[in-house]
Amino acid sequence: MSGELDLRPLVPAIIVGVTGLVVLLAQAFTPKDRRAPSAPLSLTGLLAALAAVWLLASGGGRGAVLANAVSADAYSLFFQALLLGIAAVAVLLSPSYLRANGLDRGEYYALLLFSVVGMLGLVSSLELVSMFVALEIMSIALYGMAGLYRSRMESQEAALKYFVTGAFSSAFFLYGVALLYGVSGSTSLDRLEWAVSTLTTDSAALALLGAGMLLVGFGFKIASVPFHMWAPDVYEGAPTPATALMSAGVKAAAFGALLRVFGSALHALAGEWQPLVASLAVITMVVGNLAALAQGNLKRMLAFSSVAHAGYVLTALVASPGQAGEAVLFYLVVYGAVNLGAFGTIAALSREGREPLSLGDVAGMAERRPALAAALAVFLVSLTGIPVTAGFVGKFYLFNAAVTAGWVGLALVGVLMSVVSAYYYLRVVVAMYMRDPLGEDTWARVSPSATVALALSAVITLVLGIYPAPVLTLARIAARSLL
Amino acid sequence: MTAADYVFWVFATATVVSGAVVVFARSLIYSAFALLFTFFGVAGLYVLLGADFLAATQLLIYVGGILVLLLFGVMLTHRIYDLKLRTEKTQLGPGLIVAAGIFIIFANAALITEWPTVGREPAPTTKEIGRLFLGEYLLAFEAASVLLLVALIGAAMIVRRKKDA
Amino acid sequence: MTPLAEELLVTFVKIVIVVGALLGGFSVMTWVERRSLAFMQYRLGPNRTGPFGILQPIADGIKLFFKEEVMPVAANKWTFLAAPVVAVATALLATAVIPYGPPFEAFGRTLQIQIADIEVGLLFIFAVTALGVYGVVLAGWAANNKYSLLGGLRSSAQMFSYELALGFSWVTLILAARSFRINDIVDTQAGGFWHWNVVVHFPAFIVYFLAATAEVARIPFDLPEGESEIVAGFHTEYASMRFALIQMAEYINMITVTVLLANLFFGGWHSGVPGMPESLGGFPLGFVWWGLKVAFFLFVFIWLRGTLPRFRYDQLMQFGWKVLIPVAAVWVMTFAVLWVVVGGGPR
Repeated sequence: MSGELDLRPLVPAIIVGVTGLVVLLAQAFTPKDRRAPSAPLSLTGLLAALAAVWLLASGGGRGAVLANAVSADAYSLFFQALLLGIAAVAVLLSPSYLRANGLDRGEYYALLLFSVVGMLGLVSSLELVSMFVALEIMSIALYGMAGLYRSRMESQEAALKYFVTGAFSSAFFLYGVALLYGVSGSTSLDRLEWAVSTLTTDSAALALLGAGMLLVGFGFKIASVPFHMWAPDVYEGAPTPATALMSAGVKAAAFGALLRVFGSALHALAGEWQPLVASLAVITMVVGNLAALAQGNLKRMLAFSSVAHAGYVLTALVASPGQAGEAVLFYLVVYGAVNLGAFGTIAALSREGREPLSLGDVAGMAERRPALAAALAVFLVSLTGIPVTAGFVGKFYLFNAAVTAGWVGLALVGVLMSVVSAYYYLRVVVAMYMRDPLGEDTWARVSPSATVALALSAVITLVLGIYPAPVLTLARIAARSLL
Repeated sequence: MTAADYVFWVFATATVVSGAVVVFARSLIYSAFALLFTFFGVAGLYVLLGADFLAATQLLIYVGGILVLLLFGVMLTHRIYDLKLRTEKTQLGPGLIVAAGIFIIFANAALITEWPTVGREPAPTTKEIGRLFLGEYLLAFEAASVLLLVALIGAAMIVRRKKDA
Repeated sequence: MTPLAEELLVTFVKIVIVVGALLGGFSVMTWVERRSLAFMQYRLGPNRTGPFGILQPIADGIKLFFKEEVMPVAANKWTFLAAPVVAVATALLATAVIPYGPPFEAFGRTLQIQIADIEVGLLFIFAVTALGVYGVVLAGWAANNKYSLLGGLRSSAQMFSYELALGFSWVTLILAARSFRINDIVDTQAGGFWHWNVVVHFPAFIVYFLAATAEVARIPFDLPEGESEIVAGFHTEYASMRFALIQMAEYINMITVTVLLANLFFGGWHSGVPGMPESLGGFPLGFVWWGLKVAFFLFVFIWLRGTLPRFRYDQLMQFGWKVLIPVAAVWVMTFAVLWVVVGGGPR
């Protein structure tokens, strides 16, 4: 052990964690009548971590270190860059929202940064115990963020619900880890892969149960049906920038870990778990989309849409790890940008504790706020997956992966459900462009930082729709390091 | 049966029976008390397996920490200890079927598995655990401190008095 | 006799000796405490029953035994009855792994007055002292009296807070001895008294002493019984033998922390004088040194009670969290660094 204490793969996570501490201390040492520079500090930390990821990547990445617990392979680095980007946008969205709702406290940014530490750890661990600890760091920080809005019943409900279901899912995850340890005598993914590939049929039962438990644990985090019940309430109750982080970041991090565990370590059992994942994907897409149809509240609608999108991503997992990885990685980038944009638009308009949540609130927005309406329209159209948007390219690769692996029916369900989803996404666009505004425009002016965030999301969404090749290439390289 | 077998059955019975009481007790306070015996039973099982460090830690953390916190919560919450927690719709039938099914699957898997065993007598575990914490599981061990810090911040933020918010 | 039966017999005898000695010690301590306090306060104290009043504990016992057992109407019956028993049981549990005096040769085998010499001794003690909270919480809650409940909360909050410092103060000893076993820690202190942990780990000793005093709720940390504020705290509603049981638990706890103090920090049964013979005429002298140390520190606790005023509750909490725990933590880090840089370091 001693002598090879190579911490380089952990540098991005360490930078973010230290920034979290600095934000806390800055808050503590700022005089009461002044505002602590929490958001700029957080943003600086995240960008520094992004630079560190860049340096690691240009150095050719790093192999596994710390007794094979963590690695900075291309796969980890791709996800780390994605997650840091998502977090940076979430930070940009936060100040105006927090001020508008009287929540401006340094702890929010500290928790945000720590949850990012957890996410970074989650996607780069090569060992199940470290992965679990990272998962918990991420989750616990988010429970706190969900409950930030203490004067609101919905926020308290969100924190409690998220905490209880989260703890419940952690139990499943841990049980799965324990069973897989029973199979392989180790928690390292390498050893697990080896043990699973040399299993006798009798012991395979245990490995499958372990895999099933892990799938349930991840299922809660990615909000796939039937483990999605918490999502609408939590997404609705949490402060909107936190919701944006949850929907984009948590999903990406959880899928990153899920793909690493199932796509590489447990790949020898693919024949057994793939039908399970496929059926999860089908019910997730169907239930998520149908439930979203019935929602009047925009945040809840987007929550169910996020459930549905977990289903789309799951469809790709039936393909070979390389192809699945490429499709999933690309889609998570698209999905991150689009969801940050959609939730971000709601957050940016928030004023004096209110935010636009109903169709009436956005009616006629195209007249009053043409740019903002256009951006939201881009995000929603992209979520639907209409051609020439990023969403279309992403979904094309997901469904293509499923079809190549011979799961044509699965891909058909996905396409069908995308058509269904057009109704509830485009309903909002129609309201913005075709209906007359109701009452005065009392919403907030979009702050400069939120403008940057929304513009960034919109540009990424548009560019990925027209010219996806560079990101696809990166996704391919990253997915290859999984093999 | 050897003496150890008898002891095993004593602990196992204590764990399962008190666990059932936790679930089925009508009042919350009795559930909390029953949980005490569940934790003790599990600690006893750890001792039987030669996991002395784990057993002491189990007592320390679960019995001495978590359960006391639970009791505090129950005792300090107004009228919660008379509260009937069970819902009207218990759905006993479907619940039983699912539980029994899961039990059969797990029990079956546990029985047919060829468990990898070390094949030696249990030895004192403390040193080995320490070595693993600072060796193979160093990252998880250190990351756990971040986890605790996050939990502290989150808890402090949620319980803070309204006027400072 | 089979080896198993022999082992069981030896253990049984040890249990009888230890529990007997502790119960005897409890009664004697009550007398010693009252007499010493009286002298410190220019009074005579109990001196009527037997020579010097030595039979006073017996008289007290008889009195308590025949007093009426009062149970509040609104009390939770079973919990109210169980709480004193829980208190004594947890107090006795901790005494099981402590060595009382040195190992010695008798009946053709090496014996030691220690019920169980387990590998994780200190951890076990830490765990069961944590259980001590139950007696207090249950007693405070079951009586259904506001003073009891408040007292119970105060006591348990205090015990929690100081338990951390208590545990922290052991960490460097465990590091240095590379073991949780109390016997191992005692043996690292053999030889001259400059090997005693009180010298090597002086900050840890200070933390331990203060935390232990608070843990057993002795003056100046006896807030749980701040009679001017909350009557008698968690045992307000207890009378007669149940009250006696709670008192017994408190004294046993005090004896436990004192024995630990002697064992962990003052060389246990090692004399501290190099070249001192191990035994005199077959009698292991270790018992003498050990007994003297324990007796002295028991007296120190009484002495403190006669000398110091009581803390205020907020001061108590501030002191525990903001002074003792940081000091203990910093010492752990300092020692670890020094140990690696100056001393042997981990093998």
